[in-house]
Amino acid sequence: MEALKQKVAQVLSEIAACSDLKELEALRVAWLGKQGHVTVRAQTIGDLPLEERKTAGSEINRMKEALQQAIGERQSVLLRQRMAESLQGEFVDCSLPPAPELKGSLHPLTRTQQELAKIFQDLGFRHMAGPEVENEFLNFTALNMPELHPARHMHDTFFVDLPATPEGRFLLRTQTSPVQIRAMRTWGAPLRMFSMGSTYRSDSDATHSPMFHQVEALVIEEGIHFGHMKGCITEVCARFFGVSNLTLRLRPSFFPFTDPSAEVDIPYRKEEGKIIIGEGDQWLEILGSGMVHPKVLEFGGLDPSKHQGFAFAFGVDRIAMLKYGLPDLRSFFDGDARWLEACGFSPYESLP
Amino acid sequence: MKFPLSWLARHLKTSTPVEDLAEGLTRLGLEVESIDRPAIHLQDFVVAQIESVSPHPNAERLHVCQIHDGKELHQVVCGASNVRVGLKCVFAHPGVVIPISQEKLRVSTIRGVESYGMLCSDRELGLSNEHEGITELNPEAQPGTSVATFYDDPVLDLSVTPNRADCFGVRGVARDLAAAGFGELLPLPAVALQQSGNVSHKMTYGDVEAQRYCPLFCAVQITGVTNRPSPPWLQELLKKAGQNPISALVDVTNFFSLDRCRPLHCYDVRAFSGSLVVRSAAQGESFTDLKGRVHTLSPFMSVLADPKGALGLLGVMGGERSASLPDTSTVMLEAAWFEPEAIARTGQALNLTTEARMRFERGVDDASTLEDLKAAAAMIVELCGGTVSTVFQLGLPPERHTAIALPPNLLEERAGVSIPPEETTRLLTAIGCVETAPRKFLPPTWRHDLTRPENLCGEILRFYGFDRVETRPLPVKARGADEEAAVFEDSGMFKRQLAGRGMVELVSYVFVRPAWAELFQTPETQHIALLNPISSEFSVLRTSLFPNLLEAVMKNRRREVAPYAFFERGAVFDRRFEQYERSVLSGMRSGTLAAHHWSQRARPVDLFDIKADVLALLEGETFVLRQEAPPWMHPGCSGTFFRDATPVAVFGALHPEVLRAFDLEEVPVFGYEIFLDALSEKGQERGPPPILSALQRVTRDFAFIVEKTLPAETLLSCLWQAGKSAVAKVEVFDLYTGPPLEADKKSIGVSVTFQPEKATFSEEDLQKLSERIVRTVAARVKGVLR
Repeated sequence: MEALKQKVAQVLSEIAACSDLKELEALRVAWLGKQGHVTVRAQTIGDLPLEERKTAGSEINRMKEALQQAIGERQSVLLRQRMAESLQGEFVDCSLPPAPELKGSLHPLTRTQQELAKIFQDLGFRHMAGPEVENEFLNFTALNMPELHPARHMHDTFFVDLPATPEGRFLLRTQTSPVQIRAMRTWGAPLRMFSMGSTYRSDSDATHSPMFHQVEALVIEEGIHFGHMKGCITEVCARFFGVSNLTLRLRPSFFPFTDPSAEVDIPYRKEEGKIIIGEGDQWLEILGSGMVHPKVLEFGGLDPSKHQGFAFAFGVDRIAMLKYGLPDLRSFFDGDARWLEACGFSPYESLP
Repeated sequence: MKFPLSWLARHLKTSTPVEDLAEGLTRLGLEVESIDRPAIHLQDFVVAQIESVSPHPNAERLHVCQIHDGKELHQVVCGASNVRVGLKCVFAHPGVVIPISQEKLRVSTIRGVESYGMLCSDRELGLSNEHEGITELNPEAQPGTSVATFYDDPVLDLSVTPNRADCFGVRGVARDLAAAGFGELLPLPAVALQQSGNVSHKMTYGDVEAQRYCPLFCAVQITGVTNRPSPPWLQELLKKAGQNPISALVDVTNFFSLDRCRPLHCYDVRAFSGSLVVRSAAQGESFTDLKGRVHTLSPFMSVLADPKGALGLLGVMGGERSASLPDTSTVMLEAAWFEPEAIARTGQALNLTTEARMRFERGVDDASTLEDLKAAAAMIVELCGGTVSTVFQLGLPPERHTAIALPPNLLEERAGVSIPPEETTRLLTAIGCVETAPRKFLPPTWRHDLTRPENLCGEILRFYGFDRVETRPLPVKARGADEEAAVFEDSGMFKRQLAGRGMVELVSYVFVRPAWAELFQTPETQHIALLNPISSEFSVLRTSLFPNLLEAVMKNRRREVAPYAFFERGAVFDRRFEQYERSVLSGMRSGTLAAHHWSQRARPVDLFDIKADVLALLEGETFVLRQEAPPWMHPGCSGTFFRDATPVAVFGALHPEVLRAFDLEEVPVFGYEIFLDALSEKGQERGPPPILSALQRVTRDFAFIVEKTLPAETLLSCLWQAGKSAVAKVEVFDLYTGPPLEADKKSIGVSVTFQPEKATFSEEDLQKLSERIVRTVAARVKGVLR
């Protein structure tokens, strides 16, 4: 038994030093297998005298357990080692770039129009779209710009080659204002509506594009006056530019379709070359407004002695340029993918 | 409208600094676009007094002067002959930059004598070409003060709105400033005019239209004038206002135009060939204006004519034949009033913009015509000599002004402000209204824009100040049920989907080149073109968004900016469309889809990438596909989705001819157009929840040999029908043509997934299902199992 014990002790150190799972298995078979040294010896215990059996039995068991434990431990060490080695072989350079995904984007004008639509709709305005090919009557005459009015020249109008009708020649609308007349005629009063879309003037330089976009708002309701107009414009601008406590500057001006008419300036300041809208001591003209001219109400089919209201309009492109710091209007329509990707918006970005 | 402050001072007594005046004007609606201060560069030059002059020891023509600049004495060497003790002159210290040379002055030694600065001439200051001696300042000038104050005459540039003709005269601007409390409006200078004799040529109206065009025509004749250059003060004034001085006669008329918005005209009487007539032009009548340009007139225009023809196009421009020349000695000075619309029509038809037209078409004051005519005649006599005739008058000032009743509560109603009646009366009177009866105001004759009580309200508010009107919140209003549909519709959902699919949104011009428009037409197309395009590049309204998308692909390809995947929503135009337009959503892909990258292989975009875009957008719509498309698409590689007989979307490869026009030969380009008005209005309906069977699905693969032209869709629908409710999914996993198949055959490999309903399929069940499928395919589309 002592000899066996010594041998087991020797084997235990062999196990601890074993570096190969197959060798370890061979050792297990040689000592604990069916024909293993310890197994065979255990079968001979019955041959011993009764008083020795118990001691011998427990000694054999201890040897068995010691071997099992040693083999088990060594095996898990070797398994871990083997996995670690094999994982090392599966090295992937994590610094490699993944395959680029196609990144789509929404045009800044789409984004800006969605923002504006949300603001107006939240304030209870309903929308009416108007045609881009419009007639002279609705684009000018009904807005109190008779044929020979000098204000018509301020709009460099694109005429199209459609035959004229009693409502005049056809043109690409120079403003979204004709939709005011359409809305008054369709919905009557009280009315709270806005219209947004493309407009055209034959003008082209760094700040003018032959195509641009306008948004137009009209409110004709009981008791609505100039003070409400100030409030409404302030609210729309404050929401759009995301500023609170906004104080606008209204300057008298002239538009044929309103009286009194006001041009509205928004305060701004410059900081490190960037324009900060909503505060500061500089003023930037952003929109035109006024109390709807009685003649325009008449053209809209409303009685000016019973109804009054206000209207205002502004350039969508212009306020998009201001809000998002986009310098050149022409790049809006140039289709340069670099600009569109850099200045466009993710479809997953939510509206403010 | 541009004028110097000194001109304003002729009408307004004020001590307000120019910046405050400009701010005030802007707040009154007379927007000051700029203040130009041409003398600002003279800031560093100071007034100095010459204390002593002694001859230069080494140079005969030079002087050594001791000058005092208000603080101390300086020694300056000067060559001017007009240096003398006590003279107030312009002194530049060392370090000052001389405007004409842009050189920085330094202490220098001139022929052995040190000079600590410079005494300047007008020329050196950039004020004029005068260099005979140094500039002599007013003896009262205080040494040490900046010279800029002597020359500073800021020029204001006003943007005058079309309703304010009166502000095309400095006096109108002054009147508004005075009404707003910025000073006192000075009375016009008294006119002392000796008049004798008559206008030498008889004048009549030629026809009724001419009388309507020109209701009032007044003239005086001035005999014995010398048409010399204007005096410096007048030349300076006109130059500062941006006008070139020409001769005294012309300058006087220009002065009145700018000063009082009173356009006048001087005719050289030598040119008159007989009696004069104010008449309508003959159709096609030729007229040479005083700049030598020839115009062809129409009967709605009126002229002053003699037997030889038109002398002047009334209210717009004078003629060459009767222009004032240096040797002109007798002139007829015209002051008239013209119907604004008649002048506008004339000017527009001839595309002729003049100072006179600009004023007359906006409406000048009719009441002061005679008074201004006399004042101008007096000024001509003062500058050119001569004697003035009595006034000849044709017609009468138009009766166009009636008093406007101002309801007491109108201001409250329109702006929510209450202003005491005395205050409104004061304001309206200050701008020239006359209260003819209580709360009844006769607007001034120079304000043709005031015709209704609302206009008077506007005027009162303008002076009251828009910023003083209390801001009120817009009353809260819920959207009515009938308004739910009236929202801004911009295909936002489609746009987000496409951007999510990697496409970049464009916004492009609706006008395209005619050559491009022609590529996208069918025999039925009726293009709409611009009558006055900016250039031929932008002259036809697009009938498709493809030209814009192709241009974007082309341009970005040239810049090598991939990927090329764009979409746009916009209008397309055709005479046949309702209101001439339709709303279209269009997309285009070109180049490779997957990137050239270590982890994958790039592959060219194909038809099915584009079809996937369309299907994503049309989800929920019911439609039928037909392999047909407009002529600008590749005939073999394009299709159209129809709802009933209405095309909903077209997709496919672009025709090679079209691609060639855009420099995109040999480049794969696929696109689609979705006609938004053809889509069904109702939202997508949700199906019932699925039955989640625990029984296992089974998949069987088949390969059928069919006719090459058989649409795969037909085969797939056979499979669905044959398998009945047991079919859960059908997928095409293979497509093959070529040997050993016959040339007109193709093989389609399909994977059919069966879902058992009640019990797991047995081998026998599956066998039966498969056989049914094979039989059906054979019967319906003559397909054979490969």
